[in-house]
Amino acid sequence: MNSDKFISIKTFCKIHGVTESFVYELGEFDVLKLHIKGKEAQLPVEELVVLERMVRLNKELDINPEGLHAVHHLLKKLNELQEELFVLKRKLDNNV
Amino acid sequence: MDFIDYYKVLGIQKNASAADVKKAYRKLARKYHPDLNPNDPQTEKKFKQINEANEVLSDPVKRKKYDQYGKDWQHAEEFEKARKSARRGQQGRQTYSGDATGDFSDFFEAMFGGSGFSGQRRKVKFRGQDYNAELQLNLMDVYTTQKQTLTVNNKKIRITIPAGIDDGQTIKIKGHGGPGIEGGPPGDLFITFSIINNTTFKREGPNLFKTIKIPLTTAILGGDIYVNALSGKVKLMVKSGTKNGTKVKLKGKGFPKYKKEEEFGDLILTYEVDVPTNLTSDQKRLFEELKETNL
Repeated sequence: MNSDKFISIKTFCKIHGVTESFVYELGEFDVLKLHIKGKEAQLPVEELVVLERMVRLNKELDINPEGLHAVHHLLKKLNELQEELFVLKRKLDNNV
Repeated sequence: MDFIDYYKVLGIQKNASAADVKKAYRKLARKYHPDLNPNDPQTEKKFKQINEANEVLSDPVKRKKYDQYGKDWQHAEEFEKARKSARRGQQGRQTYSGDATGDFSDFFEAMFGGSGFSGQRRKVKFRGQDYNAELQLNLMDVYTTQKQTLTVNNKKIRITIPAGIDDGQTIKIKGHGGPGIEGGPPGDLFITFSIINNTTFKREGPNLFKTIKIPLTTAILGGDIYVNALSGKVKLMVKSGTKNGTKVKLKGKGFPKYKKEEEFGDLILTYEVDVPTNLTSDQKRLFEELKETNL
C-alpha cells in the first residue's frame, strides 16, 4: 500500500494540538475510517477534510466527540438531501 | 463603509456582561458555523459578522474603544492619537501588538486594524499534551486506599490511589498534563499501575487464590487449621475425609473491590494433602496395622 495516501495520526495530533484519543474516538464512532498498520493507526488522506472539520467544530464550538458523531451524521444527511433537491429541481426545470 | 452595530449582530444589550457576550456568540456560532452550513454563502457571511462582533465585544480594550467612539468611528484615530500624545508624557510609551486582522469588514479594519492599536488576531486555543506515567506498587500497597505524592514535570501532585486497583489499570488525573497553548486547557495525566505481587496469593480481580497443605491425619479425621489471609489469621474447620485438591471459598476474605467501599472479593483455598515421607518406626508400624485392616 502506498504510504503517501496515509497520514500519521501522531503527526496530525501534534500539528493540530489534539489528543490521539480524540481521533481514535471519532474512529470508534465511525466518523472517520482509520487504517491500522501494525500497532499504529493512520489516517487515509481522503479522511483529512472530515477530521479537520471535526477539530474545528471541537475547538471553536466545544462540541464533544459524541456531539461530533451526531453532527457528522446530520451533515451527511443534509448533503444527500441537497443533492436530491438539486436533481429534482433540474428535472422540474426540464419539464417546464 | 457603514457603521456596524456589533451589539445588534450578537443580539445583546449595550450593558451586556462578558459572559453574555460569550453566551450570545456561542449560540450564534453554533447556528451559523460554516462547517454546519455547507454550500451556504449567506451563512458564511453571517458567521464572519458574528466573529467580528465577538472579536470586538469580547476584548475589553476593543469594546471600550468601540463604545467610546461608536458611530464616530471615522474620527477614532484622531481622538486616539491626541489622547495618546497627551498621556505619553505621564506614562511613557505603551505598545500594542498590531497583528493583521484577516477576514474582517472595512469598518473593523478602519477602527482596529493597521492603526497600531490593539488589532490582535483571535488566537486558536490548543489543549495541552497528555502525559503518561507508570507507577509501580506492591500488592499490599493497594490493599488499602492511600495517598501518594508524585513529582510530574517538577510539580508535586498528591493523588489518591483507591484500594483494589488492578495491575495495568490506568487512572486519569485531569489537568495535570502539559500546559495549554494560547490559553487552552491543560492536558491530562494518565498513570498506569504496575502491581507487583510479592505475596503467596494469586490475584484475579478481587479474588485471591492460594494452595495450602493440610496434614494427612487432618484430611482423614478432620480438624482445625489456621490460614493467613490478607486481613489476618483465619480459623478453618477441615471436614473429615477431605480429598486432595478440595477447594473452599472464604467469602469476603479476598482483595478489596475497586472503588467499592467495604466490599471484598473471596479467598479460594485449595487443599493439598501433605503425604508424609519420613515416618518414624512407630508411625510406620501404625500404618502397617491400618493396612492390615484393608484401608
